[in-house]
Amino acid sequence: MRAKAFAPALGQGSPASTFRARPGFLHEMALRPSLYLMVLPGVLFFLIFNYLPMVGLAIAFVDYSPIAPFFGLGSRFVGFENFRFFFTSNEWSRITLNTFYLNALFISTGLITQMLLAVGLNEMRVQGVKRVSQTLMFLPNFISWTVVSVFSIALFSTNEGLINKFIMAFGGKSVNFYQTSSVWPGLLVALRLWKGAGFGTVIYLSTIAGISHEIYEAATIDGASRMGRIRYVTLPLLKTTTAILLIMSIGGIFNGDFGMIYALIGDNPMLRSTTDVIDTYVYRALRLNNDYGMSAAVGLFQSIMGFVFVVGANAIAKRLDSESALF
Amino acid sequence: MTRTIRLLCALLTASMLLAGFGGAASAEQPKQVTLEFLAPSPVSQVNDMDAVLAKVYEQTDPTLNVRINYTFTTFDDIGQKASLKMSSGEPLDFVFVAQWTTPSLAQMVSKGLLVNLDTYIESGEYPGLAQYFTGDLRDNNAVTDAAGETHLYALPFTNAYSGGGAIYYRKDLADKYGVEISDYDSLTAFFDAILENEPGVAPFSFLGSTDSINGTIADLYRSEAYTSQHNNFLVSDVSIVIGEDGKAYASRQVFPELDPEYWSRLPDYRKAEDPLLSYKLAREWYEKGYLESDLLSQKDYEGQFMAGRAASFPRAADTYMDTVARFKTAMPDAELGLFMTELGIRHGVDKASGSDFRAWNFGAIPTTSKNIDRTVGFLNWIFEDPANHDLLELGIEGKHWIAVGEHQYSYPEGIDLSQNYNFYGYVLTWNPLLVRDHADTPAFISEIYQKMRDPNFYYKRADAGFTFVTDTIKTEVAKINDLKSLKRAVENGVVEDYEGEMTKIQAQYEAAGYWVVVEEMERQFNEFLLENPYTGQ
Repeated sequence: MRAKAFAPALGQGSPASTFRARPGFLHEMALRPSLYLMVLPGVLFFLIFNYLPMVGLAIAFVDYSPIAPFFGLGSRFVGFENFRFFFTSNEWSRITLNTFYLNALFISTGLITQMLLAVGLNEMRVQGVKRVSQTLMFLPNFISWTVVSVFSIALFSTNEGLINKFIMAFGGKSVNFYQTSSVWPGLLVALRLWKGAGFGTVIYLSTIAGISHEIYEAATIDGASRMGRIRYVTLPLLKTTTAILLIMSIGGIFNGDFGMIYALIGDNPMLRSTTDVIDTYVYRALRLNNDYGMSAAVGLFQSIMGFVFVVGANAIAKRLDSESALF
Repeated sequence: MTRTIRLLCALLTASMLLAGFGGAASAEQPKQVTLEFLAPSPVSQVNDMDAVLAKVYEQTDPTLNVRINYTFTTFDDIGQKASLKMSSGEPLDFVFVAQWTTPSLAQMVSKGLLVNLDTYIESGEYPGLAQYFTGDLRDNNAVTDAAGETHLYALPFTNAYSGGGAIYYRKDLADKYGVEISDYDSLTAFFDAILENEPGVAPFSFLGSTDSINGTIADLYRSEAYTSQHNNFLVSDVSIVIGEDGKAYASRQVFPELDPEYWSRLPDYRKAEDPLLSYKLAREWYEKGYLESDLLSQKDYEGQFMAGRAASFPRAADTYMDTVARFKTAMPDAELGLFMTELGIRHGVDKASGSDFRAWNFGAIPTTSKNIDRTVGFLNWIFEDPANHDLLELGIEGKHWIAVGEHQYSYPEGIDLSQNYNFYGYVLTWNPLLVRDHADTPAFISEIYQKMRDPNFYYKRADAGFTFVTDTIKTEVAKINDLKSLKRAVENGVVEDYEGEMTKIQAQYEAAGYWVVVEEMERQFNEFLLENPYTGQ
């Protein structure tokens, strides 16, 4: 704005005036020092905790020894040798697909449930009920997966599990959950929703709170019912938030949730075909070797894939609706 | 700026001068240093540690003048914490290490992370260490380094030459149903009685999420204590058998009983058996309900037992007193029984039980330590006098414990055991020559301990002292590590068609490069046998 107003006075066309009309970055900083000072802690935070550690990616290309110079980065260079372990295994495509499939399930069911729960909560008229249900939905988020695993044993175990006791009480045959791999993607999704969906509604609730009342009033005057208002006002206005949440979660689509899967499944060979993800595979294969190089190589692979997917998802979002894109 | 630099220079000069004067002032008492010790422990803080250390310093100050700062961590992350501390340059002077830590003792040595203690012990300046870490204990616990030399890189802390495999069971229930457990048949009769009369109680619970039980079941079933032809064993998950020509053969089959070449080299009593005996028995136990249906997810088998949901569980006999104490708190009205599964000890037969004579716990000095001499000096002090050793292991005599003869101890009357000094000796002080047992240890347990501490009771396993070096095949080893747990479903009787499953697992192992590992193992083991020939044990 300023530059525009300024430019005619200097006379358009001359190179010098163009230069002055678009002040450089340093000039810009000098003009607004307090603003840049305010952004400094954030920039430093990301520089120190997110960018500086990237130097450690070099570990993926060396035969790591902790006493080598530069925190072990000076170990013997081995090129792509550390990647051989993962990419020459028979398992890598299956576990990569598993990781992708499970995360896609988690992300899609998670976003849909969160959105529906938020809309539902928003429509509740009795404040007391709303608060109680919100608290009950939030609580599971603070229980660790290790504790959830104890619950899950109490629920799913063959002889003493609550579900099997229930089935047997009605004359059914008990299900051996811990030996039936096909049921686990569903169980994992259910447990994850129970644990996380309530807490995930926060962002949606705040977006809904930001929707202007005038739009709802206008819709009501136009004769929209309650369902109509949800369908034609609330849900369309949640589109941008959903797209942003989706793009952010896609970044981690190749990172299996080790904490959850290892706590619930452990190293159960009978459940491997559907629950084995990159992170559990790496843990099993490398726990005994303590080879930092090989682990770092797999981590690098996951990050690159995550990066490609984020950029891809963002590009698609941008094409569909430029406001939904993250960058 | 210049002022700051000047100030820094002045401070630096002053501290250098002070350091110089300090050294010159007393030639006998060196400048005080704090030694950083890192070890795993079930408790994050040892009760009364400061009082005990104060007593230690009273004696060590004139000559060593050290302070000990112990950092305790958990068993599963001790290795990782140690290597992180070393790589980040944090001070670390003494670290707990073992063959089961990650990185393991052998891995640390091959990367040059640990100080060679032989040079110190052999120097003659450390008589305490030289007296207690010598002969077989030293030889059997030495490790081969990257240069191919074998040295003592870590002090072995052990009280016995095996843990003494055993099953702990509910003796009150066995008595109730009139079963006296003494062999395979009476054990299964006990299980049957539990299944019939105690709903909701599993006859036998074990760590099915990581362990396999078929080998133990087959040994229980055979029940004979053989004293020779121990020519087959598992090394790093490869089954090895030594033939009559004295050469090792590594089974090409993951389930070695299926490999005719392997089978033909086994002792006669084994060849007379059904090759799949152990798998059949495991399946039988599972089908009958002796084993828990969800055993593959069982992580807290001992908790099951202590909560009354299991009637027995496997655990080594060396933890008897500790287990009894916890059992008494958990189930005050019940009674605990112990049934030895280690056949040599159960039948009292010499040379029927094997040992590699290696300790299960070690302590070492990282090469990054700045206080190597002082640390060795402190370790030497512990073993210079049994009283020093007992002070660190049991606490202050009269306050924390009372000596009963030369080899036992008891607690002072009225002492609150939950507040008493509770240092775990396996991280610093255990030694077969310096053991004290609690005076209340029952006679039958003392007898078992006596055998476990007698090196002549055991035969030396043919693989004792062998380390499998995997540097050249680490990709294949990693891929195979991933598959190991697949075997568990078969070995624990969970799979109905176990023969079909064995074929599938074999195919997966072969695709992961199993034969590369097997052939390398066979080559390295045969090389090892040239120096350490099999003598028919």
